[in-house]
Amino acid sequence: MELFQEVILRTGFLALTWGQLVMWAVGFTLIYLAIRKGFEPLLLLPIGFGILLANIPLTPLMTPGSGLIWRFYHYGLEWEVIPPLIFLGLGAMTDFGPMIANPKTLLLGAAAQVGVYFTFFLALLLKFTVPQAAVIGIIGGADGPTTIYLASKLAPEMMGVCAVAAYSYMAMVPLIQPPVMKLLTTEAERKIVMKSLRPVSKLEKIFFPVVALFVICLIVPDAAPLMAMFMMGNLFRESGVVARLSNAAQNELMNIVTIFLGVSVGATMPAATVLQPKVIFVFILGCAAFMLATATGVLFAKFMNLFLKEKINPLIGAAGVSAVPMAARVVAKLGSEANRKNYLLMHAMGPNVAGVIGTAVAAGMFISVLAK
Amino acid sequence: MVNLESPLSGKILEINMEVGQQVNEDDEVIIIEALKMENPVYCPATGVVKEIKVRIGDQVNEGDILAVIE
Amino acid sequence: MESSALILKCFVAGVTGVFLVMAILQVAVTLSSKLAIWIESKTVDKNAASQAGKG
Repeated sequence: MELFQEVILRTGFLALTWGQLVMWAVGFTLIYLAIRKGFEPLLLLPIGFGILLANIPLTPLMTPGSGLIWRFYHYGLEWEVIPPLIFLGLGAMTDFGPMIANPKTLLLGAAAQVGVYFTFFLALLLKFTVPQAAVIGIIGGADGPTTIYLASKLAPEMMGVCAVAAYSYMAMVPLIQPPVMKLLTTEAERKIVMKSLRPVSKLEKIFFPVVALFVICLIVPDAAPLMAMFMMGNLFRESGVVARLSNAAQNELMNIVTIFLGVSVGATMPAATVLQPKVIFVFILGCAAFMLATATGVLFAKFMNLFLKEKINPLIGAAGVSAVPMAARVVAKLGSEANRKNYLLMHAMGPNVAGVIGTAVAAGMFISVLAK
Repeated sequence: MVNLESPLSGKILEINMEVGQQVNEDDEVIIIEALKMENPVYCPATGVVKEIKVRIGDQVNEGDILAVIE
Repeated sequence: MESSALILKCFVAGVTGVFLVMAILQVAVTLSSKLAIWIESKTVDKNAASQAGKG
């Protein structure tokens, strides 16, 4: 009889808490959204599963020093290996052509980051610590790996929640951005047709990652881990001589690290860390961050128009948030709604890829000021 | 004679016209896919399709001539 | 009060950093494009010349 009792005590059932049950519901919701609604399934599915894993009592999965998922987390995220590897793949996927053809769009990629700082202040008003506020602000950059990277450096306890906020809002970019964009532009501005982009030669595209590497890393050394990998991936792509490496970075390596990223990020969310009233604010602030970044991008595009002879369509400023290519698609859609012969997709890709660089630079600046 | 030029680079997904067919200005004659987004291309003039220079699946660049309308 | 100094530093450093990087990158990209196009025009000339020579 005593033996029987002991067996029961060793099962997880008695150790289960209400919080863990709530987290199961959260995990199942993310898995449901991923499978049924197609919300960023490549990330939300493993993250959702990771949340389940972190909330099954008495399992040795997240035991520091020995747990299986803990090892993924420790060597992948704490050692800052995975986000830069994702950037390697992103670099190999990114065509900087539209940006090289119209370098002015780089400034739009910077402007959208101003929204990051507005959100940073809002988060401070809500009594988050400075490093936490920085991570919440960077959600506005709409860049998952950068958010995770910054969290691992500054506020690991925020990583899971901020990653979920970033990825779920990224899936909702077509809902979040258009109202802000319409509010800040007039019909006439949305109708502006932009001059077609000049063709960009192969050599220009090869020069770009090398030039960008030096410029970025010399000015913001702390952005180097992400940017070094990003530019190397892009050089793989544009050089044309290492198609195998470029493909591996974009496909196999990217897929492999995405698995470990998702499950480890999910596993950083045991009930005790997540179920706090403050978490609600993270989601509200995350949404505000996306809207503010969209707004500052659009407003800066209008500001640039004051000085430009060839006007740009201010909608493309909204693509300065780095959700590639969702934000560019939203811009193209709104542009064609105003004027159906307006094709803004490629024009929006310039600020869009510039936004990726901008967010990484903003993260680098936070690290240089705040990291011990 | 009016050339129908590609407004952006991408892949030809659909062609909704045939040589010899009567088309009207602003008809949606071709759909180009770029970044997994369908972009309709509108006919620049009313007339008869004289020549279609692309086929479904072709990769086109911005400014390429897709068709000639007479 | 130390924290408000830190916050200000974050903001000022961040915004100037981001815009500085982008502004300099814009100049650098424009220059590197010019260089690339110049180099390519040179090599194209050479190719054309050598082919003309062969002919």
